Amino acid sequence: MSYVSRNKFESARKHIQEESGNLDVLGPENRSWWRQKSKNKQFNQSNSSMTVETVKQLTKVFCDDEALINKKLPKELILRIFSYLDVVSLCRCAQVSKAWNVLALDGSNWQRIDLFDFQKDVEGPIIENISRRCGGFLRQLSLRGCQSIADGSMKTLAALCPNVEDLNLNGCKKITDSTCQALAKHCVKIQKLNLDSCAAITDLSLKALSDGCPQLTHINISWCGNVTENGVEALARGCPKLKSFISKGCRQITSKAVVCLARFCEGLEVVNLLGCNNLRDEAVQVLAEKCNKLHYLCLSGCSQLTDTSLISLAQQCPYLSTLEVAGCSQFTDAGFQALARSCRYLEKMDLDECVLITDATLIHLAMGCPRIEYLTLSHCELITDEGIRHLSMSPCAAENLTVLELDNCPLITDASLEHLTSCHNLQRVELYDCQLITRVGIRRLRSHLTNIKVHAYFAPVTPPPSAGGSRQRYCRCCIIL
Amino acid sequence: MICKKSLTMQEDNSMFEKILGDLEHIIENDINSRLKTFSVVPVTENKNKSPILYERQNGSEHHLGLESWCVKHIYKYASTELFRVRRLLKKNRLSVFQMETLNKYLVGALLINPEVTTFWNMKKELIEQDILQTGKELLFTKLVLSHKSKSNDTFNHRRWLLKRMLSNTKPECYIDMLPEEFAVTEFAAEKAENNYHAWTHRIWCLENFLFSKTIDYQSKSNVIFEQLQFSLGWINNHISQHSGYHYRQYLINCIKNIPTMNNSISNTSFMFVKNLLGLSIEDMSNERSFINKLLGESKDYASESNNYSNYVCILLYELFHTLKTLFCFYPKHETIWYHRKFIVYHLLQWMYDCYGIEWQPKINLSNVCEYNVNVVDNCTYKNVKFAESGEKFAKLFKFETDRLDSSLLYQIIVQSEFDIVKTSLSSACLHTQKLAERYERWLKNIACLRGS
Repeated sequence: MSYVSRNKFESARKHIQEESGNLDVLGPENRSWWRQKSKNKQFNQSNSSMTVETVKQLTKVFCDDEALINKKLPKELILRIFSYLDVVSLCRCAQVSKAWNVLALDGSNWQRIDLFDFQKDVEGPIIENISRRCGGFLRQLSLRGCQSIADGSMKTLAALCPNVEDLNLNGCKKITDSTCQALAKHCVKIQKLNLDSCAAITDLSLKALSDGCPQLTHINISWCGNVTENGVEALARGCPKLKSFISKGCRQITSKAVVCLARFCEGLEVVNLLGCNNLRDEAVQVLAEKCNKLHYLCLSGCSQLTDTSLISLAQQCPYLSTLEVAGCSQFTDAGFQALARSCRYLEKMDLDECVLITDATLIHLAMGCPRIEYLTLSHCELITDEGIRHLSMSPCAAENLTVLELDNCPLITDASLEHLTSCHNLQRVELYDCQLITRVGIRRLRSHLTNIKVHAYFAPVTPPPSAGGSRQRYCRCCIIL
Repeated sequence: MICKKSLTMQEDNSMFEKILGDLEHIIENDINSRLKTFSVVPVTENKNKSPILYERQNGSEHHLGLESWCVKHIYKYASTELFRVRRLLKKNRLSVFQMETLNKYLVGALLINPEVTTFWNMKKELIEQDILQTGKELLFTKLVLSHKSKSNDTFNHRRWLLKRMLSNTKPECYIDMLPEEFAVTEFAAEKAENNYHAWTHRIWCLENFLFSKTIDYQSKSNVIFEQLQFSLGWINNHISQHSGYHYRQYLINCIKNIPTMNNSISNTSFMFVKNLLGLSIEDMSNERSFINKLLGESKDYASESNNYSNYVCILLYELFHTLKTLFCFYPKHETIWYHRKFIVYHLLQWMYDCYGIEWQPKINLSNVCEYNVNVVDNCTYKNVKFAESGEKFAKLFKFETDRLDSSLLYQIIVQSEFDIVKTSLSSACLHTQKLAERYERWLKNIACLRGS
């Protein structure tokens, strides 16, 4: 009874969120411990004035030792069971009784927390309470999209949870350098750090991290426009174990930064330099030379690169499986020929807007790379049916090819679709703006490959209006009238 | 079969997603915001070609088009998507990532059909969450107006945006926002005939931007006279659009509140009135002598304190010059007669005000009981409602009516108006005769003009 009234009371307060599935669970209930204590007191006072006596009665019934389940199960077992629950279930359990509250909110159950689903509700005090509860237990925390998080609460977190290994701050726009400095000071064990879209981050953060977190293996500084080559250089010197470096859209990163990264972190496997348009060939050359384990590389938008880069990658990085070079318009058939000869493990290639490539590239890829699954040839205007024919005859086409993007290739005709019928695994073909493609060709392809999705600009076929049905309805109206 | 159907639906949806995304991208990234018009382009055949037509020429305006085959599909798709998340957005349950994807549906749906207030409200919510920028949204409403110029919801949204901007700008800079709004409303009024919403928006802008306390009289009067000039040109080109006249009438009323008169138009009208009434420069030199000349010698006009000579000059100039020329060229247009009524009505109103007589031309005579109240206070006559059942017009106090009747202004109005009616009645065109008859009835019954 008291819990019902309590819920009612809380629903009158603003915090409850109806109708939104899981969200409401974390909303009101958890406030009892995540919110500051003063609020709880207020709530208790007003609540007790309403139902003093019922509360007294109920505490007797639910008195911790009297409940049957608590008699049967030792605390250790309950704790063990709780350790398998997710955030929402834990919060529900925390409302059952005082004893369960203590057990459910035990730090050991809160080693891995993802608050993405509650991003709008998460505010500073919540983080502070979490860090107080979890302390050293916390290993993995994702605050993706929690925009109201600021430096103050993150500093508390860094100070109270020194064992954090994986921290995701994607989209926490208010965070500045002082968070990173606090992290570097306290959380020495940090391995993965995601600072995607934290636009206020500068070189100072990277310098602090390089001093304090030598264990760092994964870092993501995408869209942090203030980061320059100095910060990256410092990071490279301090964190030699780096495996993954992602810096999409950091325009101030130059060749020098990438060269440093390659020199000091030879274990790099994943590198994403999307939109770093200052990059030149020498950077990619050094990267290929030093980091032989590279298997993911994104150089999209680095328009100054030439075939030299591709050739050095071909020579030094045989394990490359994903290569994204959208918008590198200086690459030609020669570069891709070299690549196709030596990188046999290539699975995914994005060649969007590599305008110089012709059918020759496709012929080499068809011969050299049997694992290709995903191939983007958008805006490669010189590609013709002949290239697609070679591709469709290759071993990769028969086995692996699942996605083929051919949008804005004006020379492609229905003949290409005819060739593609032999690609049994094909699930998606993009044909936007290929003006020689007709409805008939697409229909024929569909009849061969039943599960394929063909994307083109054709008006959806509307089913012919069932004239008989509407007429009948009209007649029925007449009868009623 | 069902599986195949859902598959093609997925394909169609991804096509719509792409088209909507491209539309939003073009509008967001249009260089120097040169994008001027949007329109639906009728096409008969549907090739595998993007339905978005984007015309860019160096140095000129950009134009955006959408081929007609996809319009209904796009609209249907976008509006179902929007109504799906409508409630969540209202309750603020959408994540920022979700809200950022919402704009493309809004752009698509509103470009095609701007008459859905719900969608505009969703835009407002996104703006309040700082997901969209006010400046970009102003450009977007402009684009929508190029397609549907009479969309009241769009103007309403624009006003909301402007109000939002007002709170961030200094009062001195309000006046700088006017030219852009003038351009937008003129464009919209050109596009659609009788665009009442556009003219109302223009008036709203004047009231909100121009008549704030911080703007000095000189710049106010400059804008007003500039607009009078503009509206004259507009009326000459769009003779039978009453919305344009309404705007001009609003401007004329604005002059009442502006005492300064240092302007070419006011000077022209001033000289015109001087010649018309045969006055000397001394008569026109100050307010009192001017009013004395017009209304007869007296020291106690009720509204003497107000500087009305400007207003009267403009009204007279309008009646005896602008309307005269218009009437010569287009005698068959009813709007001109309406405008004439407005001018005469306001001249008479001003005169009655000066004499301190309450004038209620539209009195419902049968319902008002017969009573006369006469208050003599410091030789000022203040007469309240007079009516005699059965009589068609209100009777005025004898003394005052005599003075009114004998005044120069009254006589000149009576003479000119009945002349106009007489010449029109004798014209060959039946329509003109009918209009003239109606006007004569108005003069006698509503304006209570006592003439020959």
